[in-house]
Amino acid sequence: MNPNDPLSLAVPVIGIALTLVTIWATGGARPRRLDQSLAARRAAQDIIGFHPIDILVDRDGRCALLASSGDTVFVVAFMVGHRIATRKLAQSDLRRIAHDDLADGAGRLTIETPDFTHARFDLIAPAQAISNWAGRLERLRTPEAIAA
Amino acid sequence: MKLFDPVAYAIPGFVILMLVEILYARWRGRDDYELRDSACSLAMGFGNLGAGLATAGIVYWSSVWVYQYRWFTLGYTWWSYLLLFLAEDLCYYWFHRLSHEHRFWWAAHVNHHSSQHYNLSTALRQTWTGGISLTWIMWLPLSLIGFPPPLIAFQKGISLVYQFWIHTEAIRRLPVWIEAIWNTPSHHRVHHATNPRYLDANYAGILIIWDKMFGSFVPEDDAEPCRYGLVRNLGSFNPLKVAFHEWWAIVKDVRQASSLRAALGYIFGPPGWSPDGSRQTSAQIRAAWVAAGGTTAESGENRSPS
Repeated sequence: MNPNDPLSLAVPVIGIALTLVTIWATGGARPRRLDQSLAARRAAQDIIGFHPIDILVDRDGRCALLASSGDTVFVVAFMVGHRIATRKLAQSDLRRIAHDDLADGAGRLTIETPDFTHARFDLIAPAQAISNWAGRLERLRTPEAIAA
Repeated sequence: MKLFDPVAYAIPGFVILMLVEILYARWRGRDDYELRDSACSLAMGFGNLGAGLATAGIVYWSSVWVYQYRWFTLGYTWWSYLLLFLAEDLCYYWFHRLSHEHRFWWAAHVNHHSSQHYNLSTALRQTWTGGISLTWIMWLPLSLIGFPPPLIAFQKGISLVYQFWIHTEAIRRLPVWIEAIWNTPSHHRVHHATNPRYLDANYAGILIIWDKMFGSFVPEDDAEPCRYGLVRNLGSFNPLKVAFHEWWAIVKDVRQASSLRAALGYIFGPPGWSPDGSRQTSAQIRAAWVAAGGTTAESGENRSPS
């Protein structure tokens, strides 16, 4: 690319625009939602040896929490566009855990982490389940305080 | 001698092939392209052109400076170009392998692997920090041997253009003799895969023979489809985060390192290294996978002998 030649700058810009318009016009990838089996399968692929026995999926299918037997390992799975990413949650990953009640018996769980590319996870699910999972994550975050 | 820039001439071809692949994917009912993912890849590609302009001078003049001390004067002959074709591809292999094995260079290269899609737009998800991470020193021996710097720059462009078309799932396998010698979509899909079986394999640029020679070749197994991206996939399509996330992670790790050894390990160790073993390198992921019942890899079943 020659910065003194407007055409050499215009060609990639026009190419980018044309490509994106074509993806948009053809519909691109189909939106996907997380469900229990999808979240479990992906977490097991990403974290070798992880076998979730308890899973909470956000009502919009954007995020899911998974726990192994005895709550020894927690994993969050979340949609990144139309693909799935996962994070194994360690004590140092839990900066803040908050939950609040919404209308219609639902609750919202918010997990904040130091992750540079996705720092905040929000799950909306039945309030009782949210409260239960918030307590379990809190025990992971501050085991000393809980023990005391 | 003044040579043309192959990349500049190839850009219209890149666009046409992407349009064909988008329409082909649509026709096959596949979800290969996702708007935000491709927008991020194309923004990274455009940024790479700008970053390349910013560092092209120092890269080229370093090559010219080293050329003063050349062992031979190889000139512009057909046989010197043939030698350069092989030598440049060998340099690319080692640059690429080191970019996966050492975190300082991985930080510059990781963005290329950060898409969970594998299509032609992924090929354009190029680095913004390759120049400042000094990866270009891997090509300086070519100047020292005596290949003319303009010819080296030309061949680097040819290699980049070649590697565009192999970023596709639209081509499954090519004839055996091609798959045996050349880097192909099948071989490069393995390189972009995060399945433990496929990690750290197929670093080739144009010729796959280097992987076969140096023991890093893994063939694609149709029974195990490739899962693309990173072992810890990004949660964003923001090009700035894609370009700099690993650099920022290095800074954070070094700031909290408890010793000089730990700090150097975080910078120059393999990606995933940590002093307390709380993270996993590719080798550790593969070992854990084999221990959990996965077959292959280190057993040699899928890797050619080194």
